[in-house]
Amino acid sequence: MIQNAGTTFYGKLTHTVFSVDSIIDNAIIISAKRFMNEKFGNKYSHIPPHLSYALVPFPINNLEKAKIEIISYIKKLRPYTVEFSELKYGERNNIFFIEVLSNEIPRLHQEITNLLNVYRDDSIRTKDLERVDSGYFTEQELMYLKKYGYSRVFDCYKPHISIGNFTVPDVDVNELTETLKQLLSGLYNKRTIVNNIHVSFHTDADNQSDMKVIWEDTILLK
Amino acid sequence: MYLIDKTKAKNILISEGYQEQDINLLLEDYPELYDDLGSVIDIWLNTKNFVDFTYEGISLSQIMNTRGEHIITAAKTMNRLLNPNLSPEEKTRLINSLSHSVTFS
Repeated sequence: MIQNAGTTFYGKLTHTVFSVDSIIDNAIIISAKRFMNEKFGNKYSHIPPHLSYALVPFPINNLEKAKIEIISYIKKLRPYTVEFSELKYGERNNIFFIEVLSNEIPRLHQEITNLLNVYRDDSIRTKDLERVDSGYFTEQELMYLKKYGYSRVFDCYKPHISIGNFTVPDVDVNELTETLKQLLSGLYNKRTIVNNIHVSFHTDADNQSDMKVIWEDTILLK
Repeated sequence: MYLIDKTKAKNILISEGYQEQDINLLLEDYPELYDDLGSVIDIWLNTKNFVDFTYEGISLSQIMNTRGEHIITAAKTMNRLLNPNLSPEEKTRLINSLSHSVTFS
């Protein structure tokens, strides 16, 4: 038993994360997401279709400084065009997603990641900490996790819009892939204009539906 | 189960220099702690004496070190480990993660 009288501690009280994305308000994607929610128990059902640029854990004490800097950066951006590519499936999380193409996305990803990483103070999401020893990450992803607090950055960043995952048992992945391809067939090789950036500072949680938003804003690009 | 005295906890955390927003975020949905762990927090809140607590080879002081967490946050983390409904896989994963430092220096 360790006993220390009059002990004062200065550790973290909370774990918090900053995320930056663009909301993609597309009826075909919304319909496919709804299908995954209703039939396959998609655990990301509450999140609108979005294109994520960065997810950076950092302490709440740094929020105000980061907020000023990211808003100033976003206000200089212009709307840009993305092309919807094809449906892909990620076995690691049983997730379906649409690849999106644009030269702008990797640039925004890199700039936003570097901008926010300054405020990170070595934070890493608790969910990722619990994955470190499980063999979940590749060596490259682990290196990025240490350096940027998130594994899917730079070479490991794949611009995409999630359609949903399945949580129900005994799913025929090939059959579901074909069904989703048909539902999304009006989308392939089509383009859309990205005209907003959504920023959100929220609590770190194992499950996205348990996250509490502390601050968020959507900035229209002009 | 032990219910933390939020007013007392908040006053102590304010006196330690934490931001009110950060404190409220921690305390607003602070869980009921399992009794043995709760008594450690109760002692600390009332006397500032730190009595370490160990379960499955993981101690509260270890969590404070590996995750850089305050005792009140570390107790919340440890409380997850005490949950009897945790599957063996979840428990092993949590124990492994709590054994390692956050900043893999």
